[in-house]
Amino acid sequence: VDDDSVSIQERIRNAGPGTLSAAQYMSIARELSAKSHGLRPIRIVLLASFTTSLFDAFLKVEAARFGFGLSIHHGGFGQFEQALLQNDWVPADDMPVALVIAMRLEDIDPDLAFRFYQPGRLSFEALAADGLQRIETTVRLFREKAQGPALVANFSPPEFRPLSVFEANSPDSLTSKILELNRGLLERLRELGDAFIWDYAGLVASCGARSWTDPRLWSLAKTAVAPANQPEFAAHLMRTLQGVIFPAAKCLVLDLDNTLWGGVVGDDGPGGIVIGDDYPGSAYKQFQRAVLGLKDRGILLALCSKNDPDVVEEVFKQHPDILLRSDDIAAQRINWQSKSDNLKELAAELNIGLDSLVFFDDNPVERAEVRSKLPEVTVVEVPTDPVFYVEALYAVADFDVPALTQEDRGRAASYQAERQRRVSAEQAGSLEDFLASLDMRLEFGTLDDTSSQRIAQLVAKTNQFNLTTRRRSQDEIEQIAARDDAGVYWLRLADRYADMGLIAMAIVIGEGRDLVIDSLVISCRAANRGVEQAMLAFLADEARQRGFSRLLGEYIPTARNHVVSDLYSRMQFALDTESDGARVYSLDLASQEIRFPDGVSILGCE
Amino acid sequence: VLLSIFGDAAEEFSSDDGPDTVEAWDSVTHLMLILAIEAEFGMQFETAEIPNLLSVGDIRARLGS
Repeated sequence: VDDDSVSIQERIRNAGPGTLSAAQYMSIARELSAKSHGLRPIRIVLLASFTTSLFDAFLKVEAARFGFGLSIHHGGFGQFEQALLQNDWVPADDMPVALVIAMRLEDIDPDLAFRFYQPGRLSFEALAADGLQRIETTVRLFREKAQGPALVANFSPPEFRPLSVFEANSPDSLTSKILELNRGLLERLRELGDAFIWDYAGLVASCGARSWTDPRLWSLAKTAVAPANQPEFAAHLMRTLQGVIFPAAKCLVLDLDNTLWGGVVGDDGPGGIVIGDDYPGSAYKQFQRAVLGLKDRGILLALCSKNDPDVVEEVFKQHPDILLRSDDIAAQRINWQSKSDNLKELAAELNIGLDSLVFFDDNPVERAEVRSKLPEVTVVEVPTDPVFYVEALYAVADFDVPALTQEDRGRAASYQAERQRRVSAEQAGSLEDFLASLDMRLEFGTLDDTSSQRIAQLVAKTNQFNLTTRRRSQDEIEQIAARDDAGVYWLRLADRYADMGLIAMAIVIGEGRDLVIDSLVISCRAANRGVEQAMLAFLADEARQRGFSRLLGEYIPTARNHVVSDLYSRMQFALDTESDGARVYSLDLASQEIRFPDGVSILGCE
Repeated sequence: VLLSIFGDAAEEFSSDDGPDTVEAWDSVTHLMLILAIEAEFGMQFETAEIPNLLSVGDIRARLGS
């Protein structure tokens, strides 16, 4: 049923993966091609050792699920380097573009699996080295003409394995060599930068290698993916692409009754709730494990429940089967307010945007309330049977990040330290006294191998304390860092309570006698700590030492960065020009100075 | 299924229509059509017959058999 009042994206989302028929995919894809539907345009250049033209409808529909208006350039059967030598794939009008490479070794060498032990055949290592080299060359050719991420499929063991059921008993089997090759691929992609593994092998394994390929389709069309798996293929690739492009959600907000445990604690009492090692309590306990797993990798946990706070506290303190503890919770709203009001308060308290929240609540009425009032929040469609909660949680693409940083792993501890700091702040009185009591240590440095990924992550994810919101890729940032007339700086912060890691970065570019601050980004966790002042003091010193006469700062307004709109004027920069809200400020280096904040120890790069 | 692949033009298709008369009916859309029909009707064609089901009438006759 066609309903114009519901957006096409919503219709796709409501259908859920795996519920659309092939004909429905085709129909929706036709609709998508007809107009833009407010989707964000992006092109993929799809290069594969098999034909890909049958996947279009699936790819376009699954792309729209994540808000992408996808256009696809097919390289043609088995073409990699050659496909990029022409210019027909380069999009016009700044449309973002991503490269996707899917190379199967059995397509490069059809004898690979069947004649793996043939005497005198070319070694696997030689074939693998050649494959990796072709991938690298292809990515480099892409980068010559376009900026954008590269997603490269890893290698999946072939369906028919040389040693059959004993494949895993041989240390140098084809399968074990392929696993080794995938590690080599990862290393190669890290060196290239802004290049990521698309876990094709994981996809094949989770769908089932036995039925992954339809021999009819392979014979007739050299298509490696069976019809039934094509939607999964598309969904997996698009989920990977969104994870590379969109900043991840930062916080999981959980309901309590019938979500974290069975039953209603207000009615059943703390001893009466359902949780434990046997069904049905085991379903909730398993869900709590999965939730804690997200916390371990840097997702904040918050509680939002209509309940009596004292009763809830008793459960968290005393119930032996509850795995989550108060320490695991970054913030909570246990009261009788509407969920949407509570979510707004939670976002404000945690200093993150509403679009960084994922809401998990078993009650469809509450979910509908949040969906209608706060469309920015991701609302999980929670299944009615709690044994499927874990699956629903893992289906949330919003938490996907291409690479975990040290900061991600330490984030939960860092927020806990923030709560202790808040207590100290309340005791300290003035802000200066409080900052002095923190025993802050700042360390400056320039972009290097260990900081490059985190710097790119800050640039991609930070919305609020971001002066110009120029979303430069890791590759671009590294190129700027290599220039003589430019610089990329980072700042690490530690204090009495925690090492917060790399929390700020700046890109500066020389223009004649001026040093221009192209980008200045500070993690919101480190805001209001004098970090912005220290960074500008440092940049002013750098500019002076490098012989510039002025330091220029830009502010480009977005929906989210109002909080830094007056940063440069607070730091005594003079307003030079203003157009459409974008402002350029300058600091005369000969006559003006920015002090480092008091009571902070500074470790600099020379 | 025809409508989902060929759009409204498919309303006008006759039994004789196929790759020779419909411009958009090429080797790729032919396979898309065959696979979508398989999914819709819960059946599988044999490999050898797929390239030979070259008109609406042929397909209809095969499904009816």
